[in-house]
Amino acid sequence: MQPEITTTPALEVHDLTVAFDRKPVLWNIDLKLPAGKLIGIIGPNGAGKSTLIKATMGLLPLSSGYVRLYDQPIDNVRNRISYVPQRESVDWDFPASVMDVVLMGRYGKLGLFRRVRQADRDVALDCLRKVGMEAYANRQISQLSGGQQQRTFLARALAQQADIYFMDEPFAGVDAATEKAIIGLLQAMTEAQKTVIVVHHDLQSVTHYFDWVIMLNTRLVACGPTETTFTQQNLQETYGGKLTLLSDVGDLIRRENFPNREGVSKPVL
Amino acid sequence: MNDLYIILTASLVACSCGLLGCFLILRKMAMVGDAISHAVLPGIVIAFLVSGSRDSVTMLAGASLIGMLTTFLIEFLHKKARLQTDASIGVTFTCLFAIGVVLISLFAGKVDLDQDCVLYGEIAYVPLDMILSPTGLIFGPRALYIMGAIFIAIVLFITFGYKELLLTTFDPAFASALGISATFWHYLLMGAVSATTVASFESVGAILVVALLIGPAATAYLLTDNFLVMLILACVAGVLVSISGYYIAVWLDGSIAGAIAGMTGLLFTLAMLFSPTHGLLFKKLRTTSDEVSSA
Ligand SMILES: Nc1ncnc2c1ncn2[C@@H]1O[C@H](COP(=O)(O)OP(=O)(O)OP(=O)(O)O)[C@@H](O)[C@H]1O
Ligand SMILES: [Mg+2]
Repeated sequence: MQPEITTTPALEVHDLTVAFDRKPVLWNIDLKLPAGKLIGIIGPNGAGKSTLIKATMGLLPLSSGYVRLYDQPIDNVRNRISYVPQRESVDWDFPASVMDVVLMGRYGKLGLFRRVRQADRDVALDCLRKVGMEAYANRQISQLSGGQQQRTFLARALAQQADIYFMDEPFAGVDAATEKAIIGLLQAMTEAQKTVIVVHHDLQSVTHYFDWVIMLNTRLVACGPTETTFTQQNLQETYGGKLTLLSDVGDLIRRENFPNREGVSKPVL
Repeated sequence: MNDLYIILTASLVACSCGLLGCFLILRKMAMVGDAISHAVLPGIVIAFLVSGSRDSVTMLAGASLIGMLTTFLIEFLHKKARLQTDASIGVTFTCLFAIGVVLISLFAGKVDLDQDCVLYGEIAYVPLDMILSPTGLIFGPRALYIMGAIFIAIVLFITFGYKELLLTTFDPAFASALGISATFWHYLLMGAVSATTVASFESVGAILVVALLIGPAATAYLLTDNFLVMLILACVAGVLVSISGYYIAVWLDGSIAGAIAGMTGLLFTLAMLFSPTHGLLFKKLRTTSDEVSSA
């Protein structure tokens, strides 16, 4: 059912099961993702989206299955991956500046015992510029707004200069203009054969943003190119009874030109 | 000269503890320092019973092992038994400390240790235990050398592991994604806390170790928004409380350890009131001036 990928897949997940206290939260996930695509992961709260990302990067013990990136085990390609965790996962009262945090993205490349060099600072500043945060480089992270914190995390991920990016809700709290700008940036990156995987909650923008979608609800509902995969039926299966406005979303999808204004009530997410 | 020895030893303890304390506070593990400093007691007693000497290296090894075990037990109870962190810390260290106390009283005849010595220490005795050369030359107090070595080891540890310690403290998941093992650095840090605690307990006592692990670091946290500056300020605060604590104790003819712990509390209170960034007074001033300007 999944379209065949002819080249080496950027990511291959085989028969992956992850359980907390023996309760499976991801069940038998099987998927292959091509390189050079912008890929969305969608699904309701608790569907296991964050868990899938963490398990893929080897941050959680797997109950079964394996993960390969560029046909290699994850530990061989650590310096080719990049991660944007959910913003709430860290303490923003930490005594650090925006620059300090972005520089952390360079640590993997530097390796043990090596200090941050001017070249790393240049990269970090460049990444801050890309997310429109260069003016905040020396700002304390405790003094940032939620959206600015998110952009700091994005800049840190960009500073990793990786080949595959895992982003857990990178647009939570980011204003519409910035979101558009960053999506443009990510799309440009995919043209350079980077693979970007984004957990996303706003169903209205899925068709605009993503080349591929992964639809997830404990089990994998579907995975493939957005045009063929992001269908009313798959949405129904992913969100089940929870999405009462599902028909509206279906309408939205069918109509090419759906409203994207602020204030239009969004589907229940 | 004795004054200088005591102040120097206390400062080295305070700086070592202050540096480690910065990490403990930012990892929300301040109480782990407390736990380890108590839980190492059975380690010390067992090391003593096995080796039959109060030789520092054996004690350090025994206590560091127990320190690691404490850390492991806390993690285990938290992760596997799903106990809250504070509850698992509470259960672990009270149990281990109790075992230590039982061991001491069981072997009271054989062990040249008592709870008072462990808990309160006696820094005033530091100059009594001198290292002598075979020809009778005095090299200085043993405690000073031990604490000097510990301090240098900690400074080296933090200098070389700076990136890794910083990242695993701020964002352990991201560190793991980069291939920097959060668990590994966690246990290294806890090992350092255990070793420091044990090395310090003989001279300054467990209670002062707890005060110095948290006090100077908490003071520094209030005074800056930069991690490196926080580390330096914690050392400065440690030296300040050691000097002032010593002279206050001499003036009052009281316990040196007690006076240092007291000064630690006082310095923290001052920082809380007058810190330019977090201070209550400045916040108050700022809100009133805001009210005035908006009125
Ligand atoms: N550390 C944990 N211990 C136990 N259960 C967990 C843990 N982390 C997640 N879970 C469970 O796993 C399931 C999936 O969680 P996950 O965080 O992956 O969801 P998600 O799809 O990212 O949701 P959201 O949209 O809210 O971010 C949830 O039911 C959650 O209760
Ligand atoms: Mg999530």
